[in-house]
Amino acid sequence: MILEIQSLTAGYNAGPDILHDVNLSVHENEIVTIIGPNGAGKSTILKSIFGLTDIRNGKIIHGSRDITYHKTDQIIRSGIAMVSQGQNIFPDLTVEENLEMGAFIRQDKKELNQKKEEVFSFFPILKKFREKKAGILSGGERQMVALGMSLMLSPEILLLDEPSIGLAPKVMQEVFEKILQIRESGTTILMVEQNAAKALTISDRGYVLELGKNALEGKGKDLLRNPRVGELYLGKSQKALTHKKKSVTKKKS
Amino acid sequence: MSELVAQLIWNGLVTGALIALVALGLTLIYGVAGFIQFAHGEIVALGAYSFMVLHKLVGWEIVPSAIAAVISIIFVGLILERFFFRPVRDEDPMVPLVISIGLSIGLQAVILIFFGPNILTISKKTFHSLSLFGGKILATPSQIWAVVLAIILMGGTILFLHKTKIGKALRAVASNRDIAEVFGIHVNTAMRWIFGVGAGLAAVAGIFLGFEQNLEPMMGVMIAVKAFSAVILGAVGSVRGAIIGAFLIGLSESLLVGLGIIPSGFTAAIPFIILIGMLLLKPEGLFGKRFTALRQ
Repeated sequence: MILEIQSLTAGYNAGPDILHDVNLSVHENEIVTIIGPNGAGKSTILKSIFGLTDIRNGKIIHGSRDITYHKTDQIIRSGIAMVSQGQNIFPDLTVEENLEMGAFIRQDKKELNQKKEEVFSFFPILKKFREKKAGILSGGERQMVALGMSLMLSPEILLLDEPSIGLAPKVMQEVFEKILQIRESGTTILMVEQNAAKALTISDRGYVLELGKNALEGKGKDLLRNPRVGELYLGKSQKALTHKKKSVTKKKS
Repeated sequence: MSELVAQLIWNGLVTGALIALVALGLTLIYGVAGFIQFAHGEIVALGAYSFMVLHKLVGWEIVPSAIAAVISIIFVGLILERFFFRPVRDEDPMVPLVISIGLSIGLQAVILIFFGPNILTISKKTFHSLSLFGGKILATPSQIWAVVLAIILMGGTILFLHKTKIGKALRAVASNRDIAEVFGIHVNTAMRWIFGVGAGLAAVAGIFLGFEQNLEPMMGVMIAVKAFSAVILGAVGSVRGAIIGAFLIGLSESLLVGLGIIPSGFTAAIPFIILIGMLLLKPEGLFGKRFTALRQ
C-alpha cells in the first residue's frame, strides 16, 4: 500500500464537514479513480492529501509515514504531486518557467535542467512553445503544461483533479494516453474524474463517492458494468454534459 | 527654442525616473498582493526624511546616509507587510486597500509629530548645476544620479523578476496564487519580498525627490498620485507599462507646462487628465490585455 486514507473527515476553514469517514487505498503503480456526482467531495479528498483542507478526523498514510497534518511543501518533498482542476498553470509565465516553478522546491540546477529536458521529450509540443507565455496555449496544451509541471519532481504519486475537464474529445484522449504513459514510467496515479466511463476504462480500481461518503468500490471494469454506477453516474454524467452544453448555447444567444 | 525643449525633456526625464521608481513598487505590490498600496507615497516621504536625518542632522556623507536610509525603509516596508497586510492576506482586496489609506494618513501624522509641519531642506549644502551637451541642458548632480540610478534599478528589477528563481516565483504568485502554493511557493515569502523591494525603490525615489523639492509631511502624496496614474496608464500589474507610463507623465507634465500649453497652476491636474483620458479610451491600459491584469 503506497497511500492509505483511513476514516477521513474534513472540510474547509470553519465550514461544515465535506468528507465523512472516507476510506481509500492506493497500491503501488495503480491508477485509481474516484467518481461521483458534483459536490460529492471528490476534489476534497485530493486536497486533503495535499494539506489544503481542514482535517478533523482520520489519517492519511504515505508508505509508512503519517502525513495527515503535514504542510503542502513537506508533502511535495515526500514525493506527491498534484495537478489541480481548471486554472492550473501560471498563464503569465513562459512554458519553460512554468516547468521551473513545478520544481520550485528543488535546489540543484543541473538536475533541474536535466528534468526539464526529460519533460520536454515526454511532451514534444511543449518544447515548441518553450519561450511562449503559457496563457496563450489551448486547453489541451495547458493541461500538458500542468502535467509537465507536476512531473518535474519525479513524484511517486500523482494526484489528478479532473484532468479532462473542458477538453475536446480528441484532446481528452491524448491526455488520457499521457496519463497511461506516466503510469508506465512508474508513477502511481489517483485521479478524480467527471468523465467516469473514460476514466474507469483506464483505471485498475475505482471508488464511488456520494455526499462525502464511500458508496462503492471495485475494479475499474467491474464498476463500469455495475448497473447502479451505470445508471447513476455514467448516464447522469452524460446528461449533465448535454445539459451544460445547452445552457452554454442559451447564454450565447 | 530647441534649448528650452531639451531642458524640458531633461526635467521630464528626471520627474519620470522618480515616478517610475515609485510606480514600479506599486505595480509589483498590486501584482503579488492584489491591492493598490495607498501608503506608498508616505514610504517615499519616510525615505527623504530618514536620509535628511542621517545626512543633515547626524552629519554622515551622502552615500552612506543614502544606503542606511534605504535599508531602514526596506525594514519599514517589511514591518508594514508583517503587521498590517499579512493578517488580512486572504481577505477581500478592499480590506488591505482601506488599511493602506489609513496607514497613509497615520504615517503623515508620524512625520508631523517628529518633524513638525514646516518645510525642511534635505541638505545644508547647495549643489551647482552642471551644463551638459554644450550648455544646452542644466542639470544638478543629483538629477543625473537620479536618472542613472533609476535606469539601473529598473533594469535590475526586471532582470531580478525574469532571471532569478525568487523573481520568477514572485511572478508565479502574481500569475496564479493558488497554484503557486500547490508547488510549495510560499505566498508570505513572496509578499515579504515584494514589500521590501517596493519600499527600497520608493526610498531611493524619496531621497532624490528631497533634492528636487522641500521636505514636508505630505510630500509623498503628489508623487504617489502620479505613480498611481502611471500604473493605470501602463496597465495595472505590468512592470513595463508602469515604467513607460511614468516617463509619459513626467515628460508630458514638463513639456505641457514648460511650453505654455497648460498654465502652470494646472500642473497637478495633468496626471489626472491623462488618467481620465486613458480610462475613457483604453481602460485596460497601454499593455493590458485583460482588465484584471494579473490576479486570477
